Amino acid sequence: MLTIAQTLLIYIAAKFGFFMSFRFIDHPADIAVEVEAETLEGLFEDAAFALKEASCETQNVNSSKSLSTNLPSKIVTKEKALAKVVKIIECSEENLELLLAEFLNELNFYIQSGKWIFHSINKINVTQSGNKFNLTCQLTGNKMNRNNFMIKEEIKAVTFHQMKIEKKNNKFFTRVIFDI
Amino acid sequence: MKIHGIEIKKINDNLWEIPKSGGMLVPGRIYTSQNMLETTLQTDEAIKQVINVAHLPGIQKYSLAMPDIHWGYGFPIGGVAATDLNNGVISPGGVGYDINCGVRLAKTNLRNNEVKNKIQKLIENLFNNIPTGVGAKGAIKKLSVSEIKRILRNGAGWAVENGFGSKEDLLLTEETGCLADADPETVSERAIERGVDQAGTLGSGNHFLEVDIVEEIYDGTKAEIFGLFKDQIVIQIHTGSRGLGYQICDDYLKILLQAEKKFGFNLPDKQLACAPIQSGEGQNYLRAMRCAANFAWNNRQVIMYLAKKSFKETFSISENELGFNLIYDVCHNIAKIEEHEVDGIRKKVCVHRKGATRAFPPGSKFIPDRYRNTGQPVLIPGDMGRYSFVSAGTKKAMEETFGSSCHGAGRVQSRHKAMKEAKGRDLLKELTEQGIVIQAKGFKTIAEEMPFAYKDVSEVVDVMHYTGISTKVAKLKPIGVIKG
Repeated sequence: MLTIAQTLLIYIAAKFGFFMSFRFIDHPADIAVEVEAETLEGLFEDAAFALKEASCETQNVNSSKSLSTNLPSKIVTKEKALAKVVKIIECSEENLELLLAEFLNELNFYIQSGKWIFHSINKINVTQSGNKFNLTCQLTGNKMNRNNFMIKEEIKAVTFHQMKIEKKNNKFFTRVIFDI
Repeated sequence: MKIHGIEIKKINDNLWEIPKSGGMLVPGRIYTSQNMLETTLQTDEAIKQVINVAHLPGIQKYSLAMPDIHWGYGFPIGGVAATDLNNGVISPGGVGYDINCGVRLAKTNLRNNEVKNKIQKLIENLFNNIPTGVGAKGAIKKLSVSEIKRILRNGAGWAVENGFGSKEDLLLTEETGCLADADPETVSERAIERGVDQAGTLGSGNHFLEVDIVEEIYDGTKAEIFGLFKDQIVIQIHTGSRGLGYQICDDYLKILLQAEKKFGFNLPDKQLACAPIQSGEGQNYLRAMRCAANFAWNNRQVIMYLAKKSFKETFSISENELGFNLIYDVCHNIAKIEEHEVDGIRKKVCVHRKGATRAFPPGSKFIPDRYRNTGQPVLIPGDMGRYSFVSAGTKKAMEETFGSSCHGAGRVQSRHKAMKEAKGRDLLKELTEQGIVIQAKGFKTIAEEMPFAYKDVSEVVDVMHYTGISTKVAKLKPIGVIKG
């Protein structure tokens, strides 16, 4: 039985991304990432944060992964003043790989067009109905502007090359390549 | 010889064939040297992609690869495939995400000794005047959506109409800087949103503007007609359609994946998603792709204007004295409807060039009048530390490669490895010692793009030269570079 303190620690760890599991691997020309998670939803969530890490300077945004504790107070104040924007993403595809690519490309559009950056994923559901796989996801983020945010990598698109979602040893695993 | 278990047959020292097998509709042909085949291609999956492309419905003659072949998405980079206009398909994977990524070469009357003492100032001015880097914006005033759509229809013509160059520039641009039948209504709002602030911007990655010296002339007659002489200062601009093109490619990959199923194709790689050229889906992609191509030509035209302005500011000389004029502009990521001879019959085909440059021959009515006796200039940039080449298109290219040649060097090291190799080194100093001044947004770009990360482009260009596909005219050496 977990104590209240243990439960709280787990909650904080989950909230601030300590359970995220992705690693960037060598790729001849682009950015490749391997993602592993306990659940399918976790896999999608971690892949989203991998995309964010590959494309953005996270220390300058209100991120759930690394809070800007060492930033000059002026910038932090600006971030706090930014209005939160919640977005709901819904997509449907014939297989999980296309669904993941679609979801990530949706996020990539918002980042690369300089419109909006997510910092937390509140609710995410991946379901199957008939021969379709569906995703609904609620994300909270901020509008982007030059003072609070910098894109460090121009990701042209999230590709579905060599992408395969597999279950190994009770964990979901995939590899994603971002074309830069 | 076998590579990755695939049988490869030697045709001659610089040409290799993958015989037709399985679902391949035509054989594969790779223009490369034995050395490059045994070294770079041994560690690359690109040969499998040549085979995959040979499965495309309606493909003609061969699935081709130029000597700068390396792994891409769907098609290999350096891949060329022509498909039958009536029974063949169009595939965005045969164009790439950066639609009409291309190169522009401009000349000046200046010589190295007139520039070398002011190169630092020149590079600073170029860097200040030309927006570079990730998310670069603001080369020209904020444009409305309807104005962006005019660029998508008119290409470099928009820039000229708005004072960013002359009509002569258009005559010296492939397709006069504008593909007809571009329809902005086939372009998503998202693509326009990604491109709206990026007109006239250089971008990041391997895109660059380079100040070069003409270091060596191989063909004096052609060089003179191109307007090149030894020790001359010339400028190369390498960029494409930025976010607008990437989004169009991504949008249509999704649409064409559905079309592929609808038309019952079963291709070995999803990134080869395609549709019959004559289908609604295929035609819409082509119309949208042409919009991105036009956007890219406009970008290079605007950037050239800004480069010329920077030269004038730096040297305080008249336009006549400077003589800053376009030699040619080529695209190397494109699909175009062209007429070629297949099995002795002239027919219309859709030529996909992904990381391949058009190399039309002397006498072609599709190249500028002034190059009718030389063949079109083929512009092949190398890495920022060594050299680039100017070649000329030939009749042999028309006979063998659907009028196509190579486009560049290709990476030999991943960005990560390049960063690792650059760690602790003073790269700016190393380049300065080689006589190259560089200005970039950050250390990362310089490290990732260092010469050691790229193949030696001379080996690539030589394969094309010795096979007679495009013949060498001049070698350019960089003295100044700006990057994102």
